[in-house]
Amino acid sequence: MDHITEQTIVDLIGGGEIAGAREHLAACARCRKLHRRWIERMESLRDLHRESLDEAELHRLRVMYRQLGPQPVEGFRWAARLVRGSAMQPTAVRGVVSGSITEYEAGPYNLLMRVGPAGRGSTVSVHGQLTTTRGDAGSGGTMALSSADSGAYVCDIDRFGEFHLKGVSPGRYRALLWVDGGAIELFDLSIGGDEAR
Amino acid sequence: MAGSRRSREGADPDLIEGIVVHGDSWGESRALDKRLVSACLRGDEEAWVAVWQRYGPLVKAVARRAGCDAEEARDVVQRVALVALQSLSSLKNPEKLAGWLAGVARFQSFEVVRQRRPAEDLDSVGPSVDPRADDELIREQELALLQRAFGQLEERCQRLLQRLELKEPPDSYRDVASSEGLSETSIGPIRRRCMQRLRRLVEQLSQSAS
Repeated sequence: MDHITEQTIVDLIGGGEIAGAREHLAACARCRKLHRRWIERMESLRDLHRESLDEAELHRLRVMYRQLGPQPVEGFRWAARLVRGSAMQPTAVRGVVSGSITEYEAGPYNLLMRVGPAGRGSTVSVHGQLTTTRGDAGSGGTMALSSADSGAYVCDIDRFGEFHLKGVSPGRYRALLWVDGGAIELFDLSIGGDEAR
Repeated sequence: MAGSRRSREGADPDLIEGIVVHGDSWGESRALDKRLVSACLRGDEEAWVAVWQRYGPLVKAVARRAGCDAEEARDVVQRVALVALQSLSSLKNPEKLAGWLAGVARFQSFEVVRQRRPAEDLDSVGPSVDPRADDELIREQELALLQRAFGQLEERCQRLLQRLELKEPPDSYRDVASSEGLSETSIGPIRRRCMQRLRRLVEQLSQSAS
Protein backbone atom coordinates (compact mmCIF):
# COMPACT_ATOMS: atom_id res chain seq x y z
CA MET A 1 0.00 0.00 0.00
CA ASP A 2 1.34 3.44 -0.88
CA HIS A 3 1.14 5.67 2.15
CA ILE A 4 0.06 9.28 2.04
CA THR A 5 2.78 11.78 2.90
CA GLU A 6 3.10 13.62 6.19
CA GLN A 7 2.60 16.78 4.15
CA THR A 8 -0.80 15.49 3.06
CA ILE A 9 -1.69 14.60 6.64
CA VAL A 10 -0.80 18.10 7.79
CA ASP A 11 -2.79 19.51 4.87
CA LEU A 12 -5.82 17.60 6.11
CA ILE A 13 -5.38 19.01 9.59
CA GLY A 14 -4.95 22.48 8.11
CA GLY A 15 -8.34 22.25 6.45
CA GLY A 16 -7.35 20.88 3.07
CA GLU A 17 -9.21 18.16 1.22
CA ILE A 18 -7.04 15.82 -0.83
CA ALA A 19 -8.75 13.27 -3.03
CA GLY A 20 -8.61 9.80 -1.52
CA ALA A 21 -6.64 10.89 1.56
CA ARG A 22 -9.40 10.36 4.10
CA GLU A 23 -10.29 6.99 2.60
CA HIS A 24 -6.65 6.00 2.91
CA LEU A 25 -6.56 7.10 6.55
CA ALA A 26 -9.57 4.94 7.29
CA ALA A 27 -7.78 1.90 5.87
CA CYS A 28 -4.19 2.47 6.99
CA ALA A 29 -3.19 2.14 10.66
CA ARG A 30 0.30 3.59 10.05
CA CYS A 31 -1.03 6.79 8.52
CA ARG A 32 -3.77 7.05 11.14
CA LYS A 33 -1.08 6.96 13.81
CA LEU A 34 0.79 9.79 12.15
CA HIS A 35 -2.46 11.72 11.72
CA ARG A 36 -3.21 11.18 15.43
CA ARG A 37 0.24 12.43 16.33
CA TRP A 38 -0.33 15.67 14.49
CA ILE A 39 -3.72 16.13 16.11
CA GLU A 40 -2.01 15.69 19.48
CA ARG A 41 0.67 18.18 18.50
CA MET A 42 -1.94 20.79 17.68
CA GLU A 43 -3.66 20.05 20.97
CA SER A 44 -0.32 20.57 22.72
CA LEU A 45 0.05 23.93 21.01
CA ARG A 46 -3.44 24.84 22.22
CA ASP A 47 -2.37 23.89 25.75
CA LEU A 48 0.61 26.23 25.41
CA HIS A 49 -1.47 29.08 24.10
CA ARG A 50 -3.97 28.79 26.90
CA GLU A 51 -1.25 29.54 29.43
CA SER A 52 0.48 32.81 30.19
CA LEU A 53 2.17 34.56 33.09
CA ASP A 54 0.42 37.62 34.45
CA GLU A 55 2.13 40.77 35.70
CA ALA A 56 2.00 39.68 39.32
CA GLU A 57 3.77 36.42 38.52
CA LEU A 58 6.47 38.18 36.54
CA HIS A 59 6.92 40.65 39.37
CA ARG A 60 7.45 37.84 41.86
CA LEU A 61 10.00 36.27 39.53
CA ARG A 62 11.81 39.61 39.34
CA VAL A 63 11.85 39.88 43.11
CA MET A 64 13.14 36.35 43.42
CA TYR A 65 15.93 37.09 40.97
CA ARG A 66 16.92 40.30 42.70
CA GLN A 67 17.13 38.55 46.02
CA LEU A 68 18.53 35.17 45.14
CA GLY A 69 20.19 35.53 41.73
CA PRO A 70 22.41 35.37 39.93
CA GLN A 71 24.87 33.28 41.89
CA PRO A 72 23.83 29.82 43.01
CA VAL A 73 23.84 29.68 46.77
CA GLU A 74 25.95 27.06 48.43
CA GLY A 75 23.80 24.67 50.35
CA PHE A 76 20.66 26.19 48.89
CA ARG A 77 17.61 24.02 49.16
CA TRP A 78 14.36 25.22 47.78
CA ALA A 79 11.28 24.33 49.69
CA ALA A 80 7.85 25.49 50.47
CA ARG A 81 4.99 26.83 48.58
CA LEU A 82 5.35 30.26 47.18
CA VAL A 83 4.04 33.61 46.69
CA ARG A 84 0.66 35.15 46.66
CA GLY A 85 1.72 38.71 47.38
CA SER A 86 0.94 40.49 50.62
CA ALA A 87 2.00 43.41 52.75
CA MET A 88 4.79 43.24 55.26
CA GLN A 89 5.71 45.42 58.19
CA PRO A 90 9.34 46.56 58.01
CA THR A 91 11.29 45.25 60.95
CA ALA A 92 14.41 46.73 62.44
CA VAL A 93 16.76 44.10 63.73
CA ARG A 94 19.60 44.32 66.14
CA GLY A 95 20.46 41.79 68.79
CA VAL A 96 17.31 40.12 69.98
CA VAL A 97 14.69 40.71 67.40
CA SER A 98 11.00 40.62 67.40
CA GLY A 99 8.90 41.63 64.47
CA SER A 100 5.40 40.98 63.38
CA ILE A 101 3.96 40.33 60.00
CA THR A 102 0.48 41.49 59.41
CA GLU A 103 -1.98 41.52 56.54
CA TYR A 104 -0.69 38.17 55.55
CA GLU A 105 -3.15 36.27 53.48
CA ALA A 106 -2.74 32.96 55.30
CA GLY A 107 -3.40 34.78 58.56
CA PRO A 108 -1.18 36.95 60.78
CA TYR A 109 2.15 35.56 61.82
CA ASN A 110 4.79 36.59 64.30
CA LEU A 111 8.42 36.26 63.53
CA LEU A 112 10.92 36.04 66.36
CA MET A 113 14.60 36.23 65.52
CA ARG A 114 17.63 35.91 67.74
CA VAL A 115 21.08 36.82 66.57
CA GLY A 116 23.97 35.16 68.34
CA PRO A 117 27.64 34.37 67.98
CA ALA A 118 28.58 31.74 65.47
CA GLY A 119 32.10 31.12 66.75
CA ARG A 120 33.72 31.64 63.39
CA GLY A 121 35.36 34.97 62.67
CA SER A 122 33.00 37.92 62.86
CA THR A 123 29.99 36.00 61.64
CA VAL A 124 26.82 35.47 63.62
CA SER A 125 24.08 32.91 63.72
CA VAL A 126 20.46 33.79 63.26
CA HIS A 127 17.84 31.63 64.90
CA GLY A 128 14.17 32.24 64.68
CA GLN A 129 10.69 30.96 64.96
CA LEU A 130 7.63 31.72 62.98
CA THR A 131 4.40 31.42 64.89
CA THR A 132 0.83 32.40 64.37
CA THR A 133 -0.51 35.14 66.59
CA ARG A 134 -2.30 32.40 68.52
CA GLY A 135 1.10 30.93 69.34
CA ASP A 136 0.93 27.95 67.02
CA ALA A 137 4.06 27.03 65.13
CA GLY A 138 4.12 28.21 61.52
CA SER A 139 4.81 24.97 59.77
CA GLY A 140 7.26 24.65 56.93
CA GLY A 141 8.78 27.19 54.61
CA THR A 142 12.02 28.82 53.67
CA MET A 143 13.95 31.72 55.16
CA ALA A 144 16.55 33.63 53.20
CA LEU A 145 18.74 36.63 53.90
CA SER A 146 20.49 38.31 51.03
CA SER A 147 22.66 41.36 50.63
CA ALA A 148 24.73 42.98 47.93
CA ASP A 149 27.88 42.52 49.96
CA SER A 150 27.52 39.16 51.60
CA GLY A 151 25.51 37.06 49.19
CA ALA A 152 22.59 34.98 50.33
CA TYR A 153 21.87 32.61 53.19
CA VAL A 154 18.99 30.24 52.86
CA CYS A 155 17.50 27.62 55.15
CA ASP A 156 14.33 25.65 55.61
CA ILE A 157 11.81 26.52 58.29
CA ASP A 158 11.06 23.25 60.02
CA ARG A 159 7.69 21.88 61.04
CA PHE A 160 7.96 23.62 64.40
CA GLY A 161 8.40 26.95 62.63
CA GLU A 162 12.07 27.17 63.57
CA PHE A 163 15.00 28.08 61.39
CA HIS A 164 18.74 28.48 61.89
CA LEU A 165 21.21 30.35 59.74
CA LYS A 166 24.89 30.13 60.59
CA GLY A 167 27.95 32.04 59.46
CA VAL A 168 26.02 35.19 58.59
CA SER A 169 28.21 38.26 58.12
CA PRO A 170 26.96 41.38 59.91
CA GLY A 171 25.33 43.90 57.63
CA ARG A 172 22.10 45.00 56.04
CA TYR A 173 19.94 42.32 54.51
CA ARG A 174 16.76 41.86 52.60
CA ALA A 175 14.93 38.97 54.24
CA LEU A 176 12.59 36.70 52.36
CA LEU A 177 10.12 34.39 53.95
CA TRP A 178 8.21 31.77 52.09
CA VAL A 179 5.62 30.26 54.30
CA ASP A 180 3.31 27.35 54.01
CA GLY A 181 0.05 28.58 52.66
CA GLY A 182 1.72 30.34 49.81
CA ALA A 183 3.10 33.75 50.63
CA ILE A 184 6.41 35.41 50.15
CA GLU A 185 7.33 38.22 52.49
CA LEU A 186 10.10 40.73 52.10
CA PHE A 187 11.56 43.01 54.69
CA ASP A 188 14.81 44.78 55.36
CA LEU A 189 16.84 44.31 58.48
CA SER A 190 20.29 44.96 59.78
CA ILE A 191 22.28 42.46 61.71
CA GLY A 192 24.85 44.14 63.91
CA GLY A 193 28.39 42.95 64.51
CA ASP A 194 28.24 43.26 68.26
CA GLU A 195 26.66 39.85 68.73
CA ALA A 196 29.76 38.16 67.35
CA ARG A 197 32.48 37.16 69.69
CA MET B 1 24.00 41.11 45.04
CA ALA B 2 26.35 42.95 42.80
CA GLY B 3 25.18 40.96 39.81
CA SER B 4 21.61 42.02 40.31
CA ARG B 5 22.54 45.67 40.30
CA ARG B 6 24.47 45.21 37.09
CA SER B 7 21.48 43.63 35.52
CA ARG B 8 19.15 46.53 36.09
CA GLU B 9 21.67 48.97 34.77
CA GLY B 10 23.06 46.88 31.97
CA ALA B 11 20.22 44.93 30.35
CA ASP B 12 20.81 44.09 26.73
CA PRO B 13 17.87 45.64 24.86
CA ASP B 14 18.75 43.99 21.56
CA LEU B 15 18.79 40.61 23.19
CA ILE B 16 15.49 41.15 24.91
CA GLU B 17 13.82 42.56 21.83
CA GLY B 18 15.09 39.64 19.80
CA ILE B 19 13.52 37.21 22.17
CA VAL B 20 10.23 38.80 22.94
CA VAL B 21 9.27 40.52 19.75
CA HIS B 22 10.66 38.64 16.83
CA GLY B 23 10.30 35.13 15.57
CA ASP B 24 13.71 33.60 15.14
CA SER B 25 15.35 30.86 13.16
CA TRP B 26 16.23 27.55 14.76
CA GLY B 27 19.93 28.30 15.08
CA GLU B 28 19.22 31.79 16.36
CA SER B 29 16.71 30.43 18.82
CA ARG B 30 19.23 28.03 20.31
CA ALA B 31 21.84 30.77 20.37
CA LEU B 32 19.37 33.12 22.04
CA ASP B 33 18.64 30.59 24.75
CA LYS B 34 22.34 30.28 25.34
CA ARG B 35 22.73 34.05 25.47
CA LEU B 36 19.74 34.30 27.79
CA VAL B 37 21.26 31.86 30.24
CA SER B 38 24.57 33.64 30.03
CA ALA B 39 22.89 37.02 30.60
CA CYS B 40 20.95 35.65 33.57
CA LEU B 41 24.21 34.47 35.10
CA ARG B 42 25.71 37.93 34.58
CA GLY B 43 22.86 39.39 36.59
CA ASP B 44 20.71 40.66 33.73
CA GLU B 45 17.28 40.88 35.28
CA GLU B 46 15.54 41.60 31.99
CA ALA B 47 16.99 38.44 30.50
CA TRP B 48 15.57 36.54 33.45
CA VAL B 49 12.14 38.03 32.82
CA ALA B 50 12.48 37.23 29.12
CA VAL B 51 13.14 33.60 29.99
CA TRP B 52 9.83 33.49 31.82
CA GLN B 53 7.89 35.37 29.18
CA ARG B 54 9.24 32.89 26.71
CA TYR B 55 8.98 29.67 28.69
CA GLY B 56 6.52 30.37 31.51
CA PRO B 57 3.59 29.14 29.40
CA LEU B 58 5.52 25.97 28.66
CA VAL B 59 6.13 25.33 32.35
CA LYS B 60 2.48 25.96 33.13
CA ALA B 61 1.32 23.71 30.32
CA VAL B 62 3.50 20.90 31.64
CA ALA B 63 2.08 21.45 35.12
CA ARG B 64 -1.52 21.42 33.92
CA ARG B 65 -0.84 18.28 31.94
CA ALA B 66 0.54 16.65 35.08
CA GLY B 67 -2.73 17.31 36.89
CA CYS B 68 -2.06 20.65 38.59
CA ASP B 69 -4.85 23.19 38.83
CA ALA B 70 -4.31 26.84 37.85
CA GLU B 71 -3.02 27.88 41.29
CA GLU B 72 -0.71 24.90 41.51
CA ALA B 73 0.62 25.66 38.04
CA ARG B 74 1.56 29.15 39.28
CA ASP B 75 3.27 27.50 42.20
CA VAL B 76 5.18 25.21 39.84
CA VAL B 77 6.47 28.23 37.89
CA GLN B 78 7.95 29.67 41.10
CA ARG B 79 9.45 26.33 42.08
CA VAL B 80 11.02 25.86 38.66
CA ALA B 81 12.37 29.41 38.81
CA LEU B 82 14.05 28.65 42.12
CA VAL B 83 15.61 25.50 40.73
CA ALA B 84 16.72 27.48 37.69
CA LEU B 85 18.37 30.12 39.85
CA GLN B 86 20.26 27.38 41.60
CA SER B 87 21.18 25.41 38.53
CA LEU B 88 21.63 27.71 35.54
CA SER B 89 25.35 28.02 36.10
CA SER B 90 25.80 24.27 35.88
CA LEU B 91 23.53 23.74 32.90
CA LYS B 92 25.53 21.63 30.44
CA ASN B 93 23.56 22.62 27.35
CA PRO B 94 22.11 26.09 27.89
CA GLU B 95 20.91 26.10 24.28
CA LYS B 96 18.48 23.37 25.34
CA LEU B 97 16.93 25.53 28.03
CA ALA B 98 13.34 24.82 26.96
CA GLY B 99 13.64 21.06 27.28
CA TRP B 100 15.46 21.40 30.58
CA LEU B 101 12.75 23.68 32.00
CA ALA B 102 10.07 21.26 30.82
CA GLY B 103 11.82 18.41 32.60
CA VAL B 104 12.17 20.37 35.84
CA ALA B 105 8.54 21.48 35.55
CA ARG B 106 7.45 17.91 35.23
CA PHE B 107 9.28 16.84 38.36
CA GLN B 108 8.06 19.84 40.35
CA SER B 109 4.51 19.21 39.19
CA PHE B 110 4.83 15.67 40.46
CA GLU B 111 5.92 17.04 43.83
CA VAL B 112 3.02 19.46 43.99
CA VAL B 113 0.48 16.79 43.13
CA ARG B 114 2.11 14.36 45.56
CA GLN B 115 1.90 16.90 48.41
CA ARG B 116 -1.70 17.62 47.64
CA ARG B 117 -2.83 14.01 47.66
CA PRO B 118 -2.86 11.68 50.64
CA ALA B 119 -0.13 9.05 50.50
CA GLU B 120 -2.59 6.25 49.91
CA ASP B 121 -3.81 7.95 46.76
CA LEU B 122 -0.40 8.06 45.14
CA ASP B 123 -1.11 5.03 43.03
CA SER B 124 -4.04 6.83 41.53
CA VAL B 125 -1.91 9.77 40.47
CA GLY B 126 -1.14 7.69 37.44
CA PRO B 127 1.68 7.59 34.99
CA SER B 128 1.21 11.16 33.80
CA VAL B 129 3.07 12.52 36.82
CA ASP B 130 5.42 9.63 37.42
CA PRO B 131 8.86 11.14 36.87
CA ARG B 132 10.10 7.82 35.57
CA ALA B 133 7.59 7.57 32.77
CA ASP B 134 9.67 7.89 29.64
CA ASP B 135 6.70 8.41 27.36
CA GLU B 136 5.61 11.44 29.34
CA LEU B 137 9.14 12.78 29.36
CA ILE B 138 9.20 12.57 25.60
CA ARG B 139 5.85 14.36 25.44
CA GLU B 140 7.14 17.23 27.54
CA GLN B 141 10.26 17.49 25.44
CA GLU B 142 8.02 17.60 22.39
CA LEU B 143 5.96 20.33 24.00
CA ALA B 144 9.13 22.39 24.29
CA LEU B 145 10.00 21.57 20.71
CA LEU B 146 6.56 22.60 19.48
CA GLN B 147 6.80 25.90 21.27
CA ARG B 148 10.14 26.55 19.61
CA ALA B 149 8.80 25.57 16.20
CA PHE B 150 5.75 27.78 16.52
CA GLY B 151 7.90 30.67 17.72
CA GLN B 152 10.01 30.42 14.60
CA LEU B 153 7.12 30.81 12.20
CA GLU B 154 6.73 34.16 10.49
CA GLU B 155 4.57 36.53 12.48
CA ARG B 156 1.72 36.32 10.00
CA CYS B 157 1.71 32.53 10.16
CA GLN B 158 1.71 32.69 13.95
CA ARG B 159 -1.26 35.05 13.88
CA LEU B 160 -3.20 32.94 11.39
CA LEU B 161 -2.59 29.63 13.11
CA GLN B 162 -3.32 31.23 16.45
CA ARG B 163 -6.70 32.37 15.21
CA LEU B 164 -7.62 29.38 13.04
CA GLU B 165 -6.03 26.41 14.79
CA LEU B 166 -5.35 27.31 18.40
CA LYS B 167 -8.13 29.66 19.40
CA GLU B 168 -11.25 28.07 20.81
CA PRO B 169 -13.53 28.54 18.99
CA PRO B 170 -11.50 29.56 15.94
CA ASP B 171 -12.16 32.81 14.11
CA SER B 172 -13.93 32.70 10.78
CA TYR B 173 -12.03 33.00 7.50
CA ARG B 174 -13.99 36.18 6.87
CA ASP B 175 -12.81 37.83 10.11
CA VAL B 176 -9.22 36.75 9.58
CA ALA B 177 -9.24 37.95 5.96
CA SER B 178 -10.66 41.28 7.00
CA SER B 179 -8.12 41.98 9.73
CA GLU B 180 -5.17 40.70 7.67
CA GLY B 181 -6.17 42.62 4.56
CA LEU B 182 -6.43 39.42 2.52
CA SER B 183 -9.12 37.90 0.37
CA GLU B 184 -11.22 35.26 2.06
CA THR B 185 -10.31 32.68 -0.58
CA SER B 186 -6.60 33.10 0.13
CA ILE B 187 -6.89 32.19 3.81
CA GLY B 188 -7.24 28.43 3.26
CA PRO B 189 -4.09 28.10 1.13
CA ILE B 190 -2.11 30.37 3.46
CA ARG B 191 -3.27 28.36 6.43
CA ARG B 192 -2.07 25.15 4.78
CA ARG B 193 1.28 26.73 3.86
CA CYS B 194 1.73 27.82 7.47
CA MET B 195 0.93 24.31 8.66
CA GLN B 196 3.53 22.95 6.23
CA ARG B 197 6.11 25.40 7.56
CA LEU B 198 5.28 24.26 11.04
CA ARG B 199 5.70 20.64 9.95
CA ARG B 200 9.11 21.37 8.44
CA LEU B 201 10.24 23.21 11.55
CA VAL B 202 9.10 20.36 13.78
CA GLU B 203 10.97 17.92 11.55
CA GLN B 204 14.07 20.08 11.60
CA LEU B 205 14.00 20.54 15.36
CA SER B 206 13.34 16.85 15.96
CA GLN B 207 16.40 15.94 13.90
CA SER B 208 18.53 18.48 15.72
CA ALA B 209 17.30 17.24 19.09
CA SER B 210 18.10 13.65 18.26
